[in-house]
Formats: sequence, C-alpha cells, structure tokens
Amino acid sequence: MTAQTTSVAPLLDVRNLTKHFPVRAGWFRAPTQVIRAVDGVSFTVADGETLALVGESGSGKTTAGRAILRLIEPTSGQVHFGGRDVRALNAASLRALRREMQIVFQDPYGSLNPRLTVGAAIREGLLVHQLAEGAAAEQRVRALLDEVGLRAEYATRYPHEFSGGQRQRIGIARALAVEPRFIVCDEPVSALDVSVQAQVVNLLRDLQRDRGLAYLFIAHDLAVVAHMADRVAVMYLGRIVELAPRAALFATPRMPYTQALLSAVPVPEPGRVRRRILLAGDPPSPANPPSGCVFHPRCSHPDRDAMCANVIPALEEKAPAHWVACHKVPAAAPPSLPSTLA
Amino acid sequence: MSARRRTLVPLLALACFVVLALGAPWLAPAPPNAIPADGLIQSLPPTVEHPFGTDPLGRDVLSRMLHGARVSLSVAFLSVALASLVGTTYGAAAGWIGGRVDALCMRLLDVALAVPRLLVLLLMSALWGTLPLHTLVLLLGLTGWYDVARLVRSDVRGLRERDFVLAARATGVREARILWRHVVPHVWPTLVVTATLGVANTIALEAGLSFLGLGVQPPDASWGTILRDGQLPGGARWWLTVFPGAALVLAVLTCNALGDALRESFAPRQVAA
Amino acid sequence: MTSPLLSVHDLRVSFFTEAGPARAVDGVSFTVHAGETVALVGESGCGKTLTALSLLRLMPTGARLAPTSRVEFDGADILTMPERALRSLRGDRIAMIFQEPMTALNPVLTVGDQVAEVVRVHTALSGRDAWTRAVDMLALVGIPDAAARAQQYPHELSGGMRQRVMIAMALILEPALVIADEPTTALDVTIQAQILELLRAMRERSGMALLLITHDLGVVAEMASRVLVMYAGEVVEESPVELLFSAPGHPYTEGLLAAVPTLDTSRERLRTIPGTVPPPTDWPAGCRFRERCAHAWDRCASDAPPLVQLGPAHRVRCHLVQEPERRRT
Repeated sequence: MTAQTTSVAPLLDVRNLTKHFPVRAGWFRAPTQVIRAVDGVSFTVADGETLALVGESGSGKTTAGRAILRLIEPTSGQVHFGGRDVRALNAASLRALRREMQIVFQDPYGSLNPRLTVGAAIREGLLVHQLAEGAAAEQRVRALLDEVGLRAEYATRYPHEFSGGQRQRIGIARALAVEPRFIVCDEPVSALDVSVQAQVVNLLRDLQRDRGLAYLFIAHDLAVVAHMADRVAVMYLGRIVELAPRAALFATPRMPYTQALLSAVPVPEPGRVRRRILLAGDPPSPANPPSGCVFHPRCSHPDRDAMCANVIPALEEKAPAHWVACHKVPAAAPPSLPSTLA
Repeated sequence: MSARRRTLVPLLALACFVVLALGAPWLAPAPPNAIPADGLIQSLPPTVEHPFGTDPLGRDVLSRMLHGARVSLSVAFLSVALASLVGTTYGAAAGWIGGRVDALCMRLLDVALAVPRLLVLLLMSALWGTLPLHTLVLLLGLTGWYDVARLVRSDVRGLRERDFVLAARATGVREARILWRHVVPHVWPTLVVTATLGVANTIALEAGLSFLGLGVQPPDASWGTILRDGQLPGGARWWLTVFPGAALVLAVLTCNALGDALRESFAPRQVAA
Repeated sequence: MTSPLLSVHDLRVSFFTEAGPARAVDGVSFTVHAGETVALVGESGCGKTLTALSLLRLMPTGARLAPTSRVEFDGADILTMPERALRSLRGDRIAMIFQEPMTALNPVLTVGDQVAEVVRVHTALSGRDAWTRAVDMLALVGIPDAAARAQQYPHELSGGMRQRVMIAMALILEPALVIADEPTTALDVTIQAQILELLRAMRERSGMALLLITHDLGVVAEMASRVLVMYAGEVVEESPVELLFSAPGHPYTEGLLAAVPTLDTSRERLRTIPGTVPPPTDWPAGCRFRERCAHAWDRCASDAPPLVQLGPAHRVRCHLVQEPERRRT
C-alpha cells in the first residue's frame, strides 16, 4: 500500500494543518486566550484507503476532520484534495467540491433535520448538485436506502421513527447520494450499541469495497479502528504523535502515549494478565499545552529528559512507514522524508 | 384538559374577536360616529335600544366597541407582524453571522432595552402631536421587536452548530437555502409563541396609550378611547368602563392563554425510555 | 452457603406510555453475595439501568413496581420498608455511582462539602471531622492535593476527577454494596483504566460487593466474577465470567461476544446480530430474542423459554438447552 501511495499523488494531502480557537470574553468579545485544537498536523489519504485518526477527547481529531472539509476554517496549513488546493477555493468551487468529500457524523439524533423526511434529506444532495430530479431522484433515493440496508419505503418517514443504528444508515445514505470519493467518518459508531455497531462497521467496509471510497475514520475506540483502518494516526493534544500501518501500530506501538492508550483498552478475555501502563493525571488543556513534547509531563519513558521538556519532537519515520514523534524512540531505519510528504 | 383543547379554546375565542371585528359594519346597530337622529347628545345607561349604553356624545357604545375592536386588533396584529419581521431578521442575522457582528448587535439591543418602551412611545406621540393610525402601528412595531430578536438569535445560534446544518453545508447547500430549509422552520415555534404573547401585550399597550389620549385619536373608536370617554369620578358612567374593559381583559387573556398553550404544544415530546 | 447480601426476586417495573404499557423490567431475579462483583450486561433499552435504580427505589416518576417484586438486602425488603429506613440505608450500607458525575454532583456545592455531607447525614461526626474525613477519602481515591481540591466546585474538575469524587462519596462509609451504573462509559479509555484500577483497589481494601452495570464486555471481563446478561427486560443468561466468555449458552450472548471488536487486527469482518432491540412496548411473544436469532424455530414463537439451570451457577433462558439438536451451525 505504501509503495502505491509513494508513486501516485495521494487523494488527500494535509500539511501543517492548524486550527486555533480564540477564547473570547467581555462586552465586545475580544480574544483573551487561544485553544490550540489542531496544531500542525500532516498526513495523506490515498484513494480507497482508510486512515484512522485516533485520540481521546480534546485531542483535536474532530476539529481536524472538519477543518479539512472547511466546515471549520483552518487557521493555517495546506489541504489538497485530488490535486486542488481546498483552502484557495471560493464559496462556489467549495460547494462543487463537496460532491466529492462527504462527512458522516457521530450523533445519529442530531445529524438529521427532524423536520425533513428521510427521502428529502437524501435527495437534497442530488438536487443541489443537479445529479437527478423528479422520478430519477426518487429512484436514486430508493437505491441508496437499499444499499445501506434500509427499506425503500422508509423514504417518506421522519427521523424520529428510527433507531440510532437506522439513523446512522440514513446519514451514510445521505453522504453517498452525491457519489463522493472520500468520506470523513466522525465517530460514526461510538453512539451505537455493540450489536448495531458491528452492523455499521461492516456496512462501511462493504461500501468502501464496492465504491472504492477513501475514509478518514475518526475514532476513540481502538478496537473499532483495528477492524477499519489501513493506517492509523494517533493524536494527542492537537498533534499527531504516531502514524503507522495498522498491523505495525497495534503490534509494535513505539510512542509511549500509544503504548499506554493500547494497554488501557479492556480486553474481553477474563483472566488474561496484561501489562498495563497507567497514565497519571489528566491530559493538559489545549489552551496551555506543555512545552516540548506535549506528552512529556505524563510520559513514563525511562530516558525522559530536558530535551523532551523543551524541544518539540518532529514526526519522523523511525521504521518503514512508521512515523513517531518522540526523541527517545530510536530510528530503526535511516530517517528520510516520506515521498508522500516531500 | 388535553393539549389540543388547551390550544383550541383560546384559538376559537380569538377567532370570535376577529369575526366580530371584521363584521363590525354589518353587526353594529349604528355607524360608530353616528350622533342620534333625535339629537339626544347624552350618555345614557344600557337600554334595549342601546344594550351597552351611549357615550357622552350620544353614540351607541356597542357599535363603537365593535368598530373599536377593528382598530385595536388591527393595530396589535400589524405592529406585531412588523415587530416579528424586524426582530426575526435582526436576530437571525446576528445569530447566523456570529462573532463580532453578533456581539455588536446584542450590545445595541441591550442599549435599546435599557430605554423603557412606554417612555419612547410617550415622547414620540408628544413630539408628533396627533398620531395617525399607521404611525402608531409603525411606532409600536419598531419598539416591540427586541424580545423576538433575542429569542430568534439564541435559537439560530443553537441551530447553527447542529450537525444537520453542518451536514447540509457539507453537502454543498448554499447558505441562504440552509437558513431557509434547515434553520427557519425550527424558529417558527418561538416566533408564533412570542407573536401571540406580543399581540396581548400590544392590545393592552394601545388601550393604555389611547386612554391617555396619545394613541388612537377621536373621533376614531378603540377600546382605549371609549374607556377615556367614561372617565368620571365615582363610576357614574360605569357602562363606558365595564364593557370595553371586559373586552380588553378578555382579548388579552385569550392571547396569553393561546401563547402558553402553543408554547406547551411545541415543547419537545416526552419519549418513554 | 451463606445467605446472599442482596437478593432480587421477580423484579418487575412497568410504565404507561402513549404506545401502551411498557414492561421495561420483567421478572428479574438474582443475588449478590458479600464481597462479590456481579456485572449486569446489556445493550441500551434492555432494562439494566432501571433494574439498578429500582434496587434503591430510585425509579423515575411514572414507573410502577409489581407488588410481587422483592428486593432483600441483609434480610430486609427494600421495596416495602418505610422511606426513613430506606434513607438510612442509602449512602451508608448501599451506595450508588452514576455514569455522568457532572449531573450527579451538585454544581453549587464544593466537592468536599458533598463528600462530607454523606458523613454528616449518616454519622454523629461534627462538621469539621466530617470535612477531615472527606479530604482523607478524596486523597485515597487518588485526587492530588485533596485538601485544596475539596474546596473546588464540580465544574472545576475534569471528568475523571469528578468520577473519583463520586467514588469517594459512594465509598466513604464503607458500604457493603456498591451499585455502579456505567461508571466509566463517559470517560476516555486511559481515564477509564485509572477508574477501574481504583475500583479494584477499593474493593480489595473494603471488601465491598459491587454490582456493575455496563455494556462493555471488556470491562466485564476485567472486573466481574459473575455476569447477568439482560435482553428485553429479562435475564437471558447468568454465568461465571470465564464460562460466559468461553462457552456462552444463549445465542444473544454468543452474538454479543462475536460482535465486540477487539484489538486483534487479523479478524477482518465483525459478526453481527441482525436487527435491533425491540422497544419495551413491543416485546415479541414467546422468546423475545427469536426475531434476531439464527436458531429460532416454531417453539420459540409459542413458548416463552424459562431460565434453565445448565450447570452450577449457570442459567440460560433458551429452548436450545432442552433441544440442543436444533442448533444450526
């Protein structure tokens, strides 16, 4: 996979993406503080690939996903999609581009307009991009509902008549309506029960296979990611601290934070003794991130030193395709610029 | 009482008022300003001929009240419609644009709210001398939109962050269409409720102004001007106070009851867990 | 065998809704022994939280308890005891930990006050002594600089710290039974690990029994010795934890275990259970799981299966227990 992405330009190329939220206060809401929600994030997503963006609350993963789509205006950085500079697009071109880039939301209750029928919600994209009208649009809506595993006659019903899992399928159908190449899946299964979660995970995989979709799969549940992703990027306090192919990340996590994160996941095997790395305290506030390596105050690496506290570690390729932002992780291969980022 | 009946009863009552007002030219026994043919210019208590009595100029109070309802209700409805339009536009714009524009809009509103409405109205009518009806509507409308603006703005701000609005934007829907299709329909309940309560408030306010001689001007009849004609110590002309007063109280109560019932019926349904 | 600490017999809780009566909890029976950790597992809408709340008569308004239901704690029936007796039991001998500490804590009182209040309500300690004890307890649950933190308000603490405060409140009087309703669901995974570790340590220290309500089978495997699986208002399986994971008896349990994603990256496709949990107003007749079950046959539609003893401490509500040849592979 990496061999392919090095030869072909990636579908999505994000470089140094930054989103700072000013905290405003007072009568005329003058900015008093800045929250560094996303602080210099770079990655690529190839055609048909799933890149998982993993992190705990406050890591900036959702903001990153929305900034890429310009649902939130990024503060700085570059976003290229299919060779086009997303940040340079005017409003009309951006609307046109949204045919190709879609999003599925976490909250199956908040993401559907309660006053629109399911059919109307799905049809909106078709009409806006003039993909189909009238009977043809009806036909497309029915086909989409069928594709996500819902009955075609549901088109005339309202969202409140559906369960969480069904609503999530409706949200997926709405995203698919405009035939995108890329979908930001923002925690699409976190609000669902286990049995329904598995259905939606499988549906997303099937759709990817059938339609050649690329996903940016934002999640906090590492187990779901282990089933969905081709590559995984771990975020902590607005930065990517590790990025690696799925198998490598789960088998040999290198960054101490990733190791702690993986070890914290409860495993459904009673009696299995596991080495657990317990992190002390809470993640610091993104309004006031630590100097140097953002993880250093909670890091338990034996060689942790002044360098960690003062110098921001770059995300470097410590092993083939395995990128780590840590001063103390030795490079297993000679460091080189990845051609996808060069 | 069921939710539906709680809405239906005041709605029917309001409809009665509207029908009586609209039908005034046919229902009223006499033209509102007709001085009796026998030339008897005198305020008389209720009789069979004049069920609500006559006023100091000998005019039939029932007829004046029916025609007065036209004036009172239309002033209230029109000025509230104007206030809703202005308030919704202002509030929706501030909430949708957000940021500094919103902050500035809200601070301006704070300033406007700090000036008592009655004071503005008294001042304006004093400056104007006699107010024509359309100016009265304009004044009431332009001083009555602050609450609407605040409520609409807070609704819109909440809606702006909703995922389904983001989803529409991510689909490539134009901002104007998002506002119209995904935001405005959710503001309707707020608007209908505040407008209904606003009508009640404005009916009372107009009556008050007219009673003081600053609202509707003679010879035009409104409930407030009829009340004014009944001013005499000791309630000597009680029919000039009781009948228009009762109409006023009933109309205000009806609108308030309707507003409350609508607010309840729009409240999110309780769903069993 | 000693008598159980908590014994729940035929617990039934129903609601009247627009769609008709909802039998949200429908004949649940189980026991919890002193010092034991029992997990109550199920998906949303299965009745597990309502079961937990009913144990302390904390059901939401509109909920009706069946007169035949009994909940005995240390020999006394909680469901019929006077309110006064129940109040003295709550917080002292039985404590509760909620899922969302932000809503379970009072926003206008400092966390120290709230922990101390538990002490003052149930003991004769003075305000100052109660406060000292509260600060000690906050330190014990791992709140750094507890004396200063005790003066803070809930919104000034992180989610993990708030859950520690909840645990301090629940455990300060060393209750015999702690009911924890999804205590880590609202937390990040690294914070969840901290809280589970804390609950384990406190359990060792005080010997309390823990009734853990959760949907997370990973948490169950780490914490519980015995498991009750609920589906559609009923217990469908009761089993020692190792047996539940190695040899689940009910098709629902089996499906649930197969649907859980794990860190194992080699397993590509997740197994699923078709359909969704039906609403409590519309439980199917016969076996309530049959519409989603791969093995169901006509008997499942006509007879409601009883909870059948399968082995020691292993009970399953499924006709397959009697007719194993019906199992489809």
